[in-house]
Amino acid sequence: MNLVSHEYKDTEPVAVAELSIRLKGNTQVSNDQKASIKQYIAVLDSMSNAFDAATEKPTAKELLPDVRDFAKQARNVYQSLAKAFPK
Amino acid sequence: MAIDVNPTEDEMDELHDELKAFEAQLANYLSSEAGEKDPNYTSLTKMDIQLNLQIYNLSINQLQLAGENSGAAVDAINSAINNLKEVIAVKAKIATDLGVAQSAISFVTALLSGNPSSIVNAGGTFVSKLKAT
Repeated sequence: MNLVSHEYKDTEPVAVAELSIRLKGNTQVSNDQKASIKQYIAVLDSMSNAFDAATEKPTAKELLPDVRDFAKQARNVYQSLAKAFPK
Repeated sequence: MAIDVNPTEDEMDELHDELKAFEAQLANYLSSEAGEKDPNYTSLTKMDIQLNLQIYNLSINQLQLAGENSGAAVDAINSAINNLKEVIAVKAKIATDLGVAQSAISFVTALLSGNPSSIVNAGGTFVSKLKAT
């Protein structure tokens, strides 16, 4: 029976390099997820502003900028979360 | 065999962008001097608020159409997208017309309902208003 010989000194750098690439990929995913969660937290503030505006600002004119800002941020966060946490 | 006629994510993004361009035109007008003097200023502002929230809701929900009119509903959506693209580029104040803004809201409301017949009707009305104004 022939024994399979493994030259670790030749193959190990390849394995380490692969591991490094995988770790780099994982770090990127993790960073994207962190960033999208931060955005999500920020949009909660924006939603809070829109709610405050709805209760404190009696006219549609005053309310509109807060609603626009909320809708824009919420959409961006939705896309960012969807990208960072694929189904 | 059931044929899937639901719009793709890219098509929904395109619809979102065109509706948002329509809404932005209205918002720009409302923040201008001419807009503030418009006799329909308050109504248009309320409609803009409604449009913002509805367009956002639409953008985060995948449209699921079911029933006999699904194909016609997709045609109505495509027709609305194409007309919006054309009209927004040519008519700078199309979105500031009360009737057009109202029909835009009805169209987005119909889209959110997911009811193909409502989409066909509201889409047809929206396109007619866009062309007539």
